[in-house]
Amino acid sequence: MTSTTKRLEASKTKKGFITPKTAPYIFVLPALLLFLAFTVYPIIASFLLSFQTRISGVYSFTGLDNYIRLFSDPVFYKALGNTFIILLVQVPVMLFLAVILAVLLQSKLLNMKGFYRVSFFTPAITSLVAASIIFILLLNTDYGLVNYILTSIGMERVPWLSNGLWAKISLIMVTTWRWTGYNMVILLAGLQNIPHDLYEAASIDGASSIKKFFHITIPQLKPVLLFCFVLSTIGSFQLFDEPYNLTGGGPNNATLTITYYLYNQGFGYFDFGYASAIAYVIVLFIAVLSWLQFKVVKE
Amino acid sequence: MKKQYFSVFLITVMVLLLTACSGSGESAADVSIPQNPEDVEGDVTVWAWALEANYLEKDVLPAFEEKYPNVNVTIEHIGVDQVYQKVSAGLSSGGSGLPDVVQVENNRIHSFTDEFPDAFTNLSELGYDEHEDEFAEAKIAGLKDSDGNIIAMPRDLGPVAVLYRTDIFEEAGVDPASIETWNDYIAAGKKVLEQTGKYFLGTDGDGILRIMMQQQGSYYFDEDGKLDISSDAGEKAANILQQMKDSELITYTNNWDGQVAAMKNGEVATHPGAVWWSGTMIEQMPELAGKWDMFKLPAFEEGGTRASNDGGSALAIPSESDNKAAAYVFAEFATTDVDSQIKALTNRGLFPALTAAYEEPVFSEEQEYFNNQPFFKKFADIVPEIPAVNHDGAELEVRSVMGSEIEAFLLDDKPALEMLTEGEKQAVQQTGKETTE
Repeated sequence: MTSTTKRLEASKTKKGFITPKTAPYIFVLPALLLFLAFTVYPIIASFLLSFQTRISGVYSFTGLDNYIRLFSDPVFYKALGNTFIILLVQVPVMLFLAVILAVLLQSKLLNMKGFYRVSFFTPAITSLVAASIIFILLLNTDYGLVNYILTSIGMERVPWLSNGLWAKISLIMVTTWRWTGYNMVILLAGLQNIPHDLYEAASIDGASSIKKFFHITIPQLKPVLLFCFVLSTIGSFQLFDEPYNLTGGGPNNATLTITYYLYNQGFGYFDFGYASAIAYVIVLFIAVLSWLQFKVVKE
Repeated sequence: MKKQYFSVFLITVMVLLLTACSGSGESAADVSIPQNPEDVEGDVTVWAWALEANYLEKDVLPAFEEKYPNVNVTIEHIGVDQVYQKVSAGLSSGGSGLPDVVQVENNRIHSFTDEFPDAFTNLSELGYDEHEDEFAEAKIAGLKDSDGNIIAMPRDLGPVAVLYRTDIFEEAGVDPASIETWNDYIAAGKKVLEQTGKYFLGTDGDGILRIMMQQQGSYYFDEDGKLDISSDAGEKAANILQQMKDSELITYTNNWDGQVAAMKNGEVATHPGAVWWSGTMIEQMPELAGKWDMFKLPAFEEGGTRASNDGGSALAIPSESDNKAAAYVFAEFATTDVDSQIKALTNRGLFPALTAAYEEPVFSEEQEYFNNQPFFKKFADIVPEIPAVNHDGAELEVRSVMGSEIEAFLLDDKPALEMLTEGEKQAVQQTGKETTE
């Protein structure tokens, strides 16, 4: 400690640059520079880029052209619609499942809790490319295990990935498979924070476990649930790997998500100006939706 | 005061960081290719994927190194998407980090040169023009810039014909020689469906539409790069597709794997496709050996063109390469050496664009897998007939639009003609291009 201050003082007398006052700034400088170069700069640059169009290799400002194009682009609306459908169906289903699983895992009657927790959480850390390949095999119309089971109990084959509606359903299933465990772990942490006396008091008053669930667990979990909702909303707007690997956005754009569309424009067709405009519209949507969710929960 | 110094310092560092990346390549005009192979020296890095990367590394490199002992070539195997992403990122940042030679598909070349006009070295200036006559015309026409200079060296080609199952045709009593027009093809398909209950063909995208349009010398774009989807040629193709669908001859196969599965399990009797399907067929459906053969693409009217092309790639030299002479001799060797082209065909199933290679005996050999026919010779015979078309820079966007439209046509019963008009409208919206008319 003292040697450090001495050194600092010594350097102060020598150069007058590193003083106890400036030292903290110098220490955070590397991190700050990286933050500026890799976070702040891209944010500003892509914002500026969203007002530019590249004409034969040169970017020039074209005002709101990209945004005007965006709002008259049927594929963008389709991607937006797909994203909202997935969001509205998948997130409630997933969070419902996550709550149930979390409560069950909290139960004193259950053995091998660690095993179940790991099992449900594993999909969240599995490589999605590997997982998608497995799902492509499972859901294959002709050879897939799922259809094999369906046909062997006398049902029709389902065109899981080759029909617009079923492709969406498949996508929702895979997303749910992947993220339920993740939300479950967060909710589990929330459950453990609920004071036990609340349940004891309710038991003394003769409340059933269902009553306890709806009148203690859910209200107490509200802030955690909100957190999960906001995270899942953002996650849905960023949904990319699953449709990219599973369906390629098809058939007929039925599983094209908004981030996938952004990717196509940017890295498929090198239209970075338009892609940036899409990115900023996504940001806007996420901001508005998160604000709405906070608003709804607060009242 | 101190704070001000500090922010000045910060800004300086930022500016330095951001301007640090810019490369410097030699201009093509300054490069001369030494006559003596031993005088060419330097390091060459190549980006390529899958079969082409294997070809360059295993078939070309040993022979090349013998001839050019002082050139040190490194082949980097990179996935196709990664190659394109890295190339576009490299070009965006002024050419830094790009290799000396890169594999590019014909239909991608112009999406780079539209965005970055000086992306690739002008090969005509380096003398590649002397080889121009050695290649299929349809291939090399697509590798020139607007001034007629060659900007990429032609490698493989995808002449298209109809691959068909001999056993199913026999069972249905259809003689492939009798199929000369698309109407004959549909009639044969109905017979097959009636006799065997099998679909006649499957499709997973807009490939079939492009094949049929190119066959008529037309494409999604005209020569000036204007959109020309709902052209006469487009309508003729759409009408044929509509008839196929109305007669339930065509099935939607979802994707590449679905298409392979449909061919493998005998769901479809034919497949209008490029010669490079042969590699996939031999590898993935060996049990069907002897049961496949080909006949020429049906014409739209009697005596009409019976050839088209699907796919194929080329080798380009990014302008920022610092070792253009060595890069040039390597790419030149890999594209014009006949022995290497033959190895590409026999070892990898890559069909050369170099027409001189077609004279080699291996082309006329009878292929056991393909009904003991001189399969490659039959494809080589098609090559001179392939009409050249314009692969515009916006090709990928338009293909994606038309791919979706074909899916709407097959899955949602959208009329084929509507698919063309709506596809064109959407292509205008997506690309900002004008249409002809």
